Amino acid sequence: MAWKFVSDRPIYLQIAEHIKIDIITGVYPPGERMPSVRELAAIAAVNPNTMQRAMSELEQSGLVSAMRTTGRFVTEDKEILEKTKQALAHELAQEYLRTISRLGYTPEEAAELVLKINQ
Amino acid sequence: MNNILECYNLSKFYSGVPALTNLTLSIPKGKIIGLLGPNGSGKTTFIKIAAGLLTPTTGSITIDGNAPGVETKSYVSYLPERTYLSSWMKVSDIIAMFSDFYPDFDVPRANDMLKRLGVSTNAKLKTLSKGTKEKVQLVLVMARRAQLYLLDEPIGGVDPATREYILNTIITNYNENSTIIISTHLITDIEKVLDEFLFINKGQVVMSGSVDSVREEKGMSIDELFREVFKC
Amino acid sequence: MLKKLLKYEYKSVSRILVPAILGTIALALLTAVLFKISYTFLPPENEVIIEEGVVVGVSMTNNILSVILLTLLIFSIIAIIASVFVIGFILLQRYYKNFFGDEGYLTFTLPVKTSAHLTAKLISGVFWMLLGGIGVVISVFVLVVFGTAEKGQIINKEVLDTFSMLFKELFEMVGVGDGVAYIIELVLLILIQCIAQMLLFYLAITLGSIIAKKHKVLTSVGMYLGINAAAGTIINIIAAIVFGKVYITNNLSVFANSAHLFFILFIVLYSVISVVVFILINDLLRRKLNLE
Repeated sequence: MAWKFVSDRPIYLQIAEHIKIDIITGVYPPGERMPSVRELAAIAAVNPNTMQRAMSELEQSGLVSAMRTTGRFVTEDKEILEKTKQALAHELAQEYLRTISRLGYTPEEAAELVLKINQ
Repeated sequence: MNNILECYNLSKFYSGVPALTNLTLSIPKGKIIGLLGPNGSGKTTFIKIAAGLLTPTTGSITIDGNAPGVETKSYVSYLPERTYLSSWMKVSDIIAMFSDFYPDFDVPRANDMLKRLGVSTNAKLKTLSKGTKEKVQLVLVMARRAQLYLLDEPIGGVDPATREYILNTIITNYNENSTIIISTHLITDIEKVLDEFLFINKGQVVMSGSVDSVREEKGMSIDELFREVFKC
Repeated sequence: MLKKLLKYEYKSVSRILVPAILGTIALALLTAVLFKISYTFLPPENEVIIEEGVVVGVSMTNNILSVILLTLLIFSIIAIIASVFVIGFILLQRYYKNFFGDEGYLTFTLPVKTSAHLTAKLISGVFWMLLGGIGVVISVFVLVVFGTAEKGQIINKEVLDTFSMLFKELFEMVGVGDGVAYIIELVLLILIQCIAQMLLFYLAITLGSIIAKKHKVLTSVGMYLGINAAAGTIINIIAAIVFGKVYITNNLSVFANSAHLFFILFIVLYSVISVVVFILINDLLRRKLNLE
């Protein structure tokens, strides 16, 4: 199934995020060889050049490293993985807070709500 | 030369009615370009001229340095909006014919694509549905290892599943040495596949650029930009 | 490239024309065989009347067999005449569809010169017209020579004898050398006329398709009539110049007096027409093709 994208942000950034989440959630475990750019582009239904750009982003952030002939591999560096997970979680939390505060909730009420619905 | 196609002051008149007016543009190699515009904007006219089916009234156009002719036809692969297959042939016949005339035609690739489509090579073309015939044509066009692919409204009148198949075929057959020009007015589906876009209206280029930079700079998709630019 | 084009021309057209031609011959054969059987086994009520090697009538009695035979004969003759039209129609339809129909989008994006396309269509057209002509000759031969043979015979010797007599007379009149020359000239003339006619048809279709937005076929027909009339007029004018006024009043006498010149002039005229028309069509295809 093609991935979904929003219209106001560059596609390559959204792709990079999508793959980041896939890596964190274990779809691509540490040390795993990633599919080729072409394969990923077909899965995501995007332009291979765009996918290439997204992968370069991930390379820059250290999540993925490229071995010349054998392809790209997910990092095994636990620190980077942890940092990325935290950064993503942080973003999600900020997004939640931003939205819920428009409804008038304070941060404490927002946190309580999270605990409550989890029961 | 980094551009696969260059045209300068290209004009085309049909009995006094202008279809293209002093069109000047260059298409870089190795990209997927969207030629986007409303119906009657000149997209098909431009593509047919590049394919060598129409002669320009004035101006020039070259593809990899050559004017459209016998030579360019050997490295330009064109998918028209209509079906051009003779109804008496079998699928295997048309494959043999393409293979006969186009040195860059990749028979195993074509057969593989057809197998995945579930089309038997023994099938007579006239027994295939319109949708299947269009897919076969796409296979024939994409199975060539051409330098320039001209796809005229490839997802025009097809169902969503077919649309997905067509986009997938374009993506998987793409290679950095070739360029794909897709002309369409259905922008949302095609946007993620494009590197760059050209807005064309009344036979002229109205705007052009890269898809990503529009999102970065304007915070909107090409589809939204199109609606803004072509507001009625 | 030309060979490949010819291959596909053949594939496309032969699947209809081969059955058409063979069918016509087969029908003639069937008719001839049935006629033969009827004289052999039945009393001489059903007879084909021959005088001096020419079929002048069929004598019938009122029975079913003769009705069947007559019907079969009529069908055979219709088939022979129709086969010529069918061949012509199929060839012209092929030209039109392959160049100016939807198939044109494929045809003209092949990496092939327009002159090669045109040459392939020309060779194919002339080939099938000649083949069709041979088919007609064979069918007529079968009907006349086998079908009219009398009770004890397989072939009608009288007809064959008449033919060889005609040839003998020709050679006696003009000498073997000249006689052979005339035959060669006649064959050449037929060939070059086939080529010229085919090209004139193709020109008419080309002009009709390029000029007309709608009613392309109708325009093509109109074009053909016009072009043919023009070509005919030009030929007549030139012939009149060469032979003098007598050509207009009595061209049979011109033929009788200077047959060689007559043949050669017309061969040259049709050759020139063919070349000019070929160049014209090629130019139109190269520069004025505007497929819808």
